[in-house]
Amino acid sequence: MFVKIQHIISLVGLACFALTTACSHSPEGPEAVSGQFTVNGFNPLVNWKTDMAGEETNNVLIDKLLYLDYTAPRRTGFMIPSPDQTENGFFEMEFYIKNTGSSPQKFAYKIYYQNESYKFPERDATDSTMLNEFAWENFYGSWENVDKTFVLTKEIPGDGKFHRITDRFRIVGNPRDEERYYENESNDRWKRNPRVGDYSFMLAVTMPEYMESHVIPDYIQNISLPKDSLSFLNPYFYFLYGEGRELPNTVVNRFPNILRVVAKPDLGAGIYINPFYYPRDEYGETFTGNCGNSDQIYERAPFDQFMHYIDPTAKYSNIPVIADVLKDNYSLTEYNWNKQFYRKEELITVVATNSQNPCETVISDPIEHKIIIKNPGTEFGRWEKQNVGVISRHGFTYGKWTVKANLTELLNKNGLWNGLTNAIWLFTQDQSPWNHRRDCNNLGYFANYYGGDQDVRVKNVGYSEIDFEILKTTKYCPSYIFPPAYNKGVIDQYNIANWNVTLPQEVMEMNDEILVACTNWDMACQDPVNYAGGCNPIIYDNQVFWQHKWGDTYRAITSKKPELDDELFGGPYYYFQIDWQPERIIWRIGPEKDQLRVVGYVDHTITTIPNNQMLLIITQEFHNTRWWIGSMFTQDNIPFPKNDITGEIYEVVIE
Amino acid sequence: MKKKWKLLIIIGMVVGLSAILALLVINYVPWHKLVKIPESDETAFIRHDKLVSAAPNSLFFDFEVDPTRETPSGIYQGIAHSGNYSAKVFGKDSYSISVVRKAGELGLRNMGGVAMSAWVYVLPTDDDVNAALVFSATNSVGVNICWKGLYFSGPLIPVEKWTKISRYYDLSDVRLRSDDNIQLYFWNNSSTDLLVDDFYFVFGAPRDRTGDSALVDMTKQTGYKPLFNNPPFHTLFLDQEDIQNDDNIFLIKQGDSVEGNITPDDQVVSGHFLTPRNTRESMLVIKPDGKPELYHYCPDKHSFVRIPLDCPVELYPLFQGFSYLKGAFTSSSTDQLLVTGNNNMALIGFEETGSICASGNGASAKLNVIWQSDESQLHEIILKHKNQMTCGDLNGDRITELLLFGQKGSWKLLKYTSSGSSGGDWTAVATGEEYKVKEWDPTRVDFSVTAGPYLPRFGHDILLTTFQDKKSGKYAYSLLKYQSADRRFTQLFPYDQQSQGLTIGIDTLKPTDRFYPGHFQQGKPMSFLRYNRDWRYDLKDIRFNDTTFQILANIDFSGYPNDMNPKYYEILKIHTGNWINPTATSVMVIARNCKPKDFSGGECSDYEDLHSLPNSLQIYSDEPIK
Repeated sequence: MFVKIQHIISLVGLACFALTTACSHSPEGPEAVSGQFTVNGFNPLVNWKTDMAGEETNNVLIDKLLYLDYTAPRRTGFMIPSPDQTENGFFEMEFYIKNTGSSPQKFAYKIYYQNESYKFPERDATDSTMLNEFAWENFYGSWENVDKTFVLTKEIPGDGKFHRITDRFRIVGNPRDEERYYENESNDRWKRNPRVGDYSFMLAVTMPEYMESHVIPDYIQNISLPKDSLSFLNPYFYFLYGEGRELPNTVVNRFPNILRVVAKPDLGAGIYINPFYYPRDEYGETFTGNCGNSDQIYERAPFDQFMHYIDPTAKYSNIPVIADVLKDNYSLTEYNWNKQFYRKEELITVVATNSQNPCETVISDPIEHKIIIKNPGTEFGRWEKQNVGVISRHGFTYGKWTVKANLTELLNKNGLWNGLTNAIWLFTQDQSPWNHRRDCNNLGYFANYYGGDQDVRVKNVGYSEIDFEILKTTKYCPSYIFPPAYNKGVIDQYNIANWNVTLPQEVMEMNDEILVACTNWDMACQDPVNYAGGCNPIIYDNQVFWQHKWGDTYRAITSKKPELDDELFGGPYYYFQIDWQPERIIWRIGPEKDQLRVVGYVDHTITTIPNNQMLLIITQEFHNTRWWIGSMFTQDNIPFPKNDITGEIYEVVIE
Repeated sequence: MKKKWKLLIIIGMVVGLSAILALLVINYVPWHKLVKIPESDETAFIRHDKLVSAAPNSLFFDFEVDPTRETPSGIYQGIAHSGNYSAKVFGKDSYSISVVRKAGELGLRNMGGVAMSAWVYVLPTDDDVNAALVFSATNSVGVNICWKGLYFSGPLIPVEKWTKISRYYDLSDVRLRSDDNIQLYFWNNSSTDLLVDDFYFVFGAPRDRTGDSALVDMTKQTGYKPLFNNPPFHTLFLDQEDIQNDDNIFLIKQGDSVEGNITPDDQVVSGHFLTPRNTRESMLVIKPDGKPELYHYCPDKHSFVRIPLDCPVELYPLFQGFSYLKGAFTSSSTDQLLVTGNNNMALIGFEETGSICASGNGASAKLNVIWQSDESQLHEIILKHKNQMTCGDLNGDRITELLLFGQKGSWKLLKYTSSGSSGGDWTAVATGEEYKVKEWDPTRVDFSVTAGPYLPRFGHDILLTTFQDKKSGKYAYSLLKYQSADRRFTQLFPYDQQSQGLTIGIDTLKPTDRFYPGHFQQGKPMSFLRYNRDWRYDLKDIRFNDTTFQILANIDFSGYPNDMNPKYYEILKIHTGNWINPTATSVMVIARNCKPKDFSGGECSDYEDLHSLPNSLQIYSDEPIK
């Protein structure tokens, strides 16, 4: 019944438009009234009818949902809608205006949109009359052509009737047309992709003379213009809380609903092989139909095969043992024996490696729409601990990044570690100036993610990283628990107790647990008010999260939470979520998407939250345990993998 | 007057400066590091039966005291992390009972670092907690030379709950002497009352592995380029045979009945004592009291059976020897055993009655003393230890000869000659007075000789001598072939190698090594297991060629129950035989751990049946019969 009524209303509206621009029915939605006109019925999504459940609806005043179109040309960045998502590739918008004066009059209007999920409040938290200094960072826009400022309506007669005005627009990357995202005169809109999450829409209507007389400032008319040399002024602040609010004969009409934008790449759409690492001439034979660097894969594949940076100084000498730790009943006794009773000459110097050939260790399955990654088993003479993983190809700033995956188990039934770290992480899309983080005013960022505490500091840096790293290691905090008092044992074959030493009680008690390490790389920017080195607790969601930095100059902050290996990696799948917001990052995990629990938390008071564009990386990697001081098992004493170690990624959603 | 003022000013300044100095000293001098805290000898109250620290270079104190006596002043009863007692540290600037040791007692070489931990319990309080677990060292005149405090302070300290604290300190820059005092205690610098328990200190910096450096570097462009006899080596995993003995110490288990408790002290000789040479071997076990036991594997039963052996007790002394050599000394189709003791020698044969593995009563066997002597001397060579003799088919006549080593490299090669029903005797085939062998000269070298088919191109046994020069300590080995025509031994390794085998890589053959010939891998040529226990279990499959030996593989085990890999055991006796498969050699391991903690190899007076590594007898093969 409801649907039918809606249908009738729509038909009436259509009929009005077809016959005359004047309509006597009362448009839906809030009404905005000024001295000379009244605006009503603002609908920015006339031709988008997908409701939050994914169903078609004719209900205008309802939240809408849109999945980003990954099939659109990659270099244009995401367009909302994409050319394939609506008939003309734009949202049709409409509103109704009634001239309340006696003589015909043209009016000026402009549409603005803003991502509401991942924004700074427009107003300053301590003085609501003031602009939030970071509000300009919000993702807001207007017409794609920034030179299209306010648009004049046709002449509206003073007939006391609402007249329908229509227009169209779309949400695109780099909506402010900023030069920093240009390269070779090309607007690389993908460098500032539309954010995921909820979008609001605001219609500003004013008198035409305010344009010409610059009563409405140029930087509001044309959002590409900065207010000053430092930053842009967010038009939402201007019209809702700032000077624009006080302007006579100027109204804003806010669409009462939102458009929710979600990114959900098809994991079966292929894996792109970057020719920089694997030139087609040399490696083309290993390409498969769904993995390679053909034009089609280039356009469609949402993931690249990830190439780890291999630090040549991170090499170590590994025991010459090849075993399947997860299946071969590998025990602490065997670990201890191997640790003590191999001579140095028998060891094998290695450093973690990348795949020799592309497409061998990453598979995009178009049938089940999943990605399979596998650390290959090794054999005598080809000892190797090979990292594997995939990296997304479309960057975003902020978002709730949820991964449903069945990554490898890390521990066997004896609590022995296979040496792998399951990592789900966000990583800067580029370290070029276009992707720099906001200014760090206190000392600056370290210029490089590596190096010592005397290294060069800079005001801006492109490096950013937010990690889930899940591995077998020990907690660092509070400071009085680290490191556990290990007895390293002695080489004495005639007294088992001398070499087969047990681990400390607190380590044994977490025999079946791995640690979920949640890290934000703030590059030691000391702007946050509570920035500090050492172990410091922060409370969120009624939980204490001990944050650790090795010192004031350490580039990352990490908390660790013990979790059961069997639960995270022993079942059919598990969910991992990085909720990256402008002022906080929340790490969650859970058996189902609606059963997530918080396992890590930081906010802007203790660490600098990145604001640049990042990619998603999912890996199974062999870390040098020198990075994880105090670990009960060290990588060099863990065997080379005998069999392939497989992980599967079922779903990635960014929302 | 002026002078008086001056004086007053000076006195005032001195007093003022003194006061400032005193304030500075009070505030900034680390008294807690300098003050000598009251010592208390923990041995006065600690129950030593409660000291539990099997781990090396460590001290553990759980503060348990004798409950029948009055509780000592520093001890708290009722709240403890382990047991019933803990140490109390009540009030500001209080100290727990301290543990004091001389650095020398703990071992100066272990003073490169200390890992320490304790459990702390905070009694109900509104005050902040500020305390530390302390390692301090003072020299013989009481001057503090090192103070390391593991601080227990900061936010969110749990109250009314045991909290583990731990830390490692590098002490490499601290110069300690043997008579320096190491003091370990807990210091409370807050008004909160604290209990502490289970102090644990581990001394020593992390140690490097044995050896020089890795030989294989996979980070180089060249990757792995095998180098002859240099590690790493392939690993051959021998898999456990299911002989249905429930993995216990007995060779046979049938229901509740068990037999064949073979211990490391027993002598085990494999041979065709009852059956022809192309069939399964039997296992002869000789107990330390001289009692022989004979076992044979029956494939239909998938288990061993014991073959009753008719051996009168009077013959037991004959079996109490130091040398047991198996061979075809006579022309019989079965093997005999030559036993040499301190006062006797005997050549013993076995006679089978019945049929082995047959159902019903099965077979039994009878001993047949073919030859015996009431002295351990043959052809004027007095035999005192097993390295003085070996045996093998050295001339290819399929009869086993006995080789005895005399003085200064002399030798005698004997052959048993039967003289009909009246018995027989050992006759000299050749003697080495003229053609002495220098590596058999006990005045120059320690040596061990084993005969075997070390080079397949010869159809008979040759001699492997492993020896160590007594002067230089250098290890070497040689292969010798008996030349029937010349009645002498000739070296098989080239002259330009000093007639010794080359030692390539880090593995050396030593006189203490044990060599086991066999077909350990189906379808592959005969090879030898070399067993070395210098510093670890080290069993390798090797093969000889014209210049050296080649390491084919490390031998490891698989299929063992729980965590019972034989290589972990402190005592591991290895025996080989074609017991289960006539064409493939199996390895039997007798695994034990030694009860006395000062065990350093050699004889063990008492074995310990550990829960995690229980005493065990297991048999392994390359391809077990499933």
